[in-house]
This record gives sequence, structure tokens and C-alpha cells, in this order.
Amino acid sequence: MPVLSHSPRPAVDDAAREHLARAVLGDVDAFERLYRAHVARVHSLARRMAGPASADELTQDVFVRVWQKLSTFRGEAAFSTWLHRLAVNVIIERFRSRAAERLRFIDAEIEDQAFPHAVAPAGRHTDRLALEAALDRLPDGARRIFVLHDVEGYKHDEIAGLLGIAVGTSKAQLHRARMLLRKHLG
Amino acid sequence: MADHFSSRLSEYLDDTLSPGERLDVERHLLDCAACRADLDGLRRVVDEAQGLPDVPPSRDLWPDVRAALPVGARRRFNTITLSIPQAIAAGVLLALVSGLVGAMFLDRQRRESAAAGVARESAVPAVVHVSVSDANYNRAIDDLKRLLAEERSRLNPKTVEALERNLATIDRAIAEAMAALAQDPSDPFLNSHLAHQRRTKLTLLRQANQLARTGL
Repeated sequence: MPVLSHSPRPAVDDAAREHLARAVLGDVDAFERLYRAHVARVHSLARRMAGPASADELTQDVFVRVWQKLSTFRGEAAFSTWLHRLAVNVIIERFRSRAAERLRFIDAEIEDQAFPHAVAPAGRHTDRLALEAALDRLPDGARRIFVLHDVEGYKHDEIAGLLGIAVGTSKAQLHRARMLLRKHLG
Repeated sequence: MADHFSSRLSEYLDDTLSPGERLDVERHLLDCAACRADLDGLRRVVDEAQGLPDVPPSRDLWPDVRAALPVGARRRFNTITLSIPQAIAAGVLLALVSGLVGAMFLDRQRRESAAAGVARESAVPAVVHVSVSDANYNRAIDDLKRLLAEERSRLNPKTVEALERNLATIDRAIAEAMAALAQDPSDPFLNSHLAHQRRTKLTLLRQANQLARTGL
């Protein structure tokens, strides 16, 4: 049986803290380390929220914003949490900049016929691949709410605040998204 | 399957229904196989969503990101990179140098005074006060030390070691400058030197507090 030993600061955390400290002071090489440590999460968030076509550009926008805002990071939350919230805000800002985006959240009806009903093959890995593929086909509003709630763990009141919609709209869109995905996964 | 209950399955799954509403759904589920199947399916979707892995982009986006960073900031550290202890050490290098210059100045002053045997008061301008008053300075230093003591555990031990070493160096320089000023309170260089050392110490303590607050 392994014996647990208390180590207050694992080496990897020391390195991450140092990269962060140096990046705050303007060290681009240290910022690259931060980028490489977090890019998978940011890119996955962008891809799921906005679709694969926009994911690269949004990821770039997020990290430029992170660089610009680094000096405002005060350590009240973990850096990964701070970065993630900033990423969500950047992505949502992009949505807001599109005309009538808000109306799409409120009024959009999910088009069942736009969704394939073929049952995905069984298996956990296959399920995840199928779910990622199915996410891309969800209507925009439902997809973003599903990603924020079920993938990223936001609550309905937080989502409503972020997207400028009613809590009831968030709940309704989430249920519709889940039902469509459930049909697809079989 | 009743639409009324079907639409509440997500809230049931998320445990956001009131106790009464939850009981109603559970009673319905006992009699409705279709809703039970939907609930199982929804639960599977949620489980899968929560376990989705993060996947990096298919191509390296860093060159694009780097190219988009503000140019001025991008060039600041391109050729020289420092660890935190190194940065702190570099930050007090000027204090060390000026401390040495001060010591050399004092030594030369003592030798010249002994050789000439004359008082220097007539050769120097009027008293030049240090730019940081004693009361304000001491209060600021005490506050910063107290804050740092509270957050000290959040600092990297190597950073703490470098900080203490450099603070000790600055304190020695301050003590030497004050001892020299006690002999010659009107000396402009010594006043300027002391003010500089005090500012260096304040800056160092502020930076250390900033690092501790951000948990770096």
C-alpha cells in the first residue's frame, strides 16, 4: 500500500507559478508555456460553443485577451478558473457582436429534421465522439447552453446572466438539447 | 408519456425541482416506461458530457497568438528571462552597487577629512532632506511587512530566500547611510543615497506582497 506523503508544492506547480509570474512581467516565453498548458481546454470550449470553423480564431482571441489582462489577475481564484471565465466571456462577446444573436436564443426552435436520428455505435469512446459530432449539429442557442451547463458546470442563473436570457429559457433550451442528443446517441 | 412530465425530466435529473414537484415526477415515472427510458437517456447524455476530454487544436496556434500580442510587450523579455529569485536579485542589484558607491564615498570622505583637518560644513550646501519621511516610511514598511507575514506561506521558498537575502543587503546599506548621516546630516549625496535605499526597500516589499497575493 503506498504511503501518502505531504508535499505542499509539487514541482509542476512551482514551475507553473513561475511561468505565470514571469508572464505577468511581460515574458513571452513564459506566456507560451501557459498557452501550451491551457490551449486544449480553451480550444475545446471554443469548438463546442462556436463550432469547429471558429475555434482557432476564438482561441487566438482568448489568449491575446489573457495576455492583455494578466496584470489584473489577483489570485482570488485559481489561474485556470480565471482563464476559463475570461475565455467564456470572449466567446460570448463574439456571439453578442452578431446582430440578432439574442433573438436566436429566445426564439429559436430546434429543428429536429436538421438532426440525424441514426443511432451511434455502442461503446464509451464512440459515445464521446458521437456526442462531439452531435453537438456541432445542435442549434446555436441550445448548444451553448448545453456546453455551459453540462460540460462546463455553469448554473442556469449564471448562464442567463452571461447570455442575457431568462432562466426559464436556459432550462428549456437545455432540456431540448439533451433530448436531441439522447435521440442521436440512442 | 406525458409532455408535462417529460419537460421536467431535466430538472428532475439536475435536482432543481421542489420536493413536491419531485414527488410528482417520481410517481409518474413508476407508471410511465417512456419517461423512464427518456430519463435514462438524458442521464447518459449528461454523464458523457461531463466526461468529454479536452482536445488540443489540430495545428499549432502559438505562432498566430504570438504575432497578435502587442508588439511593445512582446519584445520586453525576448532575450533575457529571469526566475523570480533572479528577478528579485536583479531588482536590488542597483541597491548593492549604490551601497558600495556610498561606502567608497564615506571612506574617501573620512580620509580627506583626516588629512586636511578641516571641517566640511562650510563646503556643502544646506541640509537636503530624504524624500521619504521617517514616519511615513516606517509606517509603510511596517504595513508591508505585516501583510507579507500573513501571506508568506503562499510564496515559493526560493523566492522567500532571495527576498530575505536582498532585504538584509538593503537594510545594511540603509544602516550605513544613516550612520554616515549622523556624522554629516547635511550631505546631499548621503541624503539622496538613503532615500534611494528606502525606496528600493519599499518597492521590493510591494513586489513581494503582490507575488504573495497572486499565489505565485
